[in-house]
Amino acid sequence: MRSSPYISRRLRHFAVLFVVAFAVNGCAIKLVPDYDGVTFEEIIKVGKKVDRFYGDVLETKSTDRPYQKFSERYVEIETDIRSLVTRNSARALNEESMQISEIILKLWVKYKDNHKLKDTYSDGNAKLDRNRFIRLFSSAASAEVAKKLDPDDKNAEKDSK
Amino acid sequence: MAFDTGEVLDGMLGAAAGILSKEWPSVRACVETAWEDERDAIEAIAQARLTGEIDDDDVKSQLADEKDTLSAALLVCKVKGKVAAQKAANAAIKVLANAIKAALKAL
Repeated sequence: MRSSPYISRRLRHFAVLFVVAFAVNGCAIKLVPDYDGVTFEEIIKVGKKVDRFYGDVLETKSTDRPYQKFSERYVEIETDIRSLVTRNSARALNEESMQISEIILKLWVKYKDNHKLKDTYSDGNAKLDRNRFIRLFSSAASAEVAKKLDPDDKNAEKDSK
Repeated sequence: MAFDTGEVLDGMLGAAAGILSKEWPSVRACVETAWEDERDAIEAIAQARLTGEIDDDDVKSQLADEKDTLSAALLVCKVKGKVAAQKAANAAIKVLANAIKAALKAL
């Protein structure tokens, strides 16, 4: 027996809507990664270390700041920043945070090399560089916090917790 | 069947526009703050040069580093813009999903 054209049209409509509903339900657009609390804590921790480093540089008499006196801490902090770059680059859709951490690394290495070359660090440069790192780490932290979404804006089934 | 394409599209557009108008001020404020911080930093470099704390080569190097620092601040605004776009798109999809569900119930 053949169904009437009316019923057949209704069934076809239903099937199309069912398929679209199925597709739309599982479809959420994602342009940024989920907020990562561990990365945020890491940014705060490394930023604090850098600030402490500059505090100690500025507390040291400007005529007594040879590179060797600070080399160990330069290497330690560089390792921390590299770890931050790796962590950011391992996350999908995370281009901006990765670029910010790369800028931080680039400037840290530049200032380390300058200190090594001149074997001193002037008050003027140290103060300006310290403030620059405060802004850079603040940018890194803000970029991470911006990824914190309200529960309504997350796809509960797909997003990581 | 209760599925008015025009009405659904209007609803999707309304949802997306509502989210964008709510989120946009935060993106704009982010760009404004980045510029204000940059202005302060450049003033500090100029001041340090005037007081003799840094020399001309230092100024050149400091200004080059400011380019990178401003880029980093603007990258934050880019993330905020992407978050706003994501929220708007998903609000529109939610309207579509609800309209389809309602149409299916009516069948």
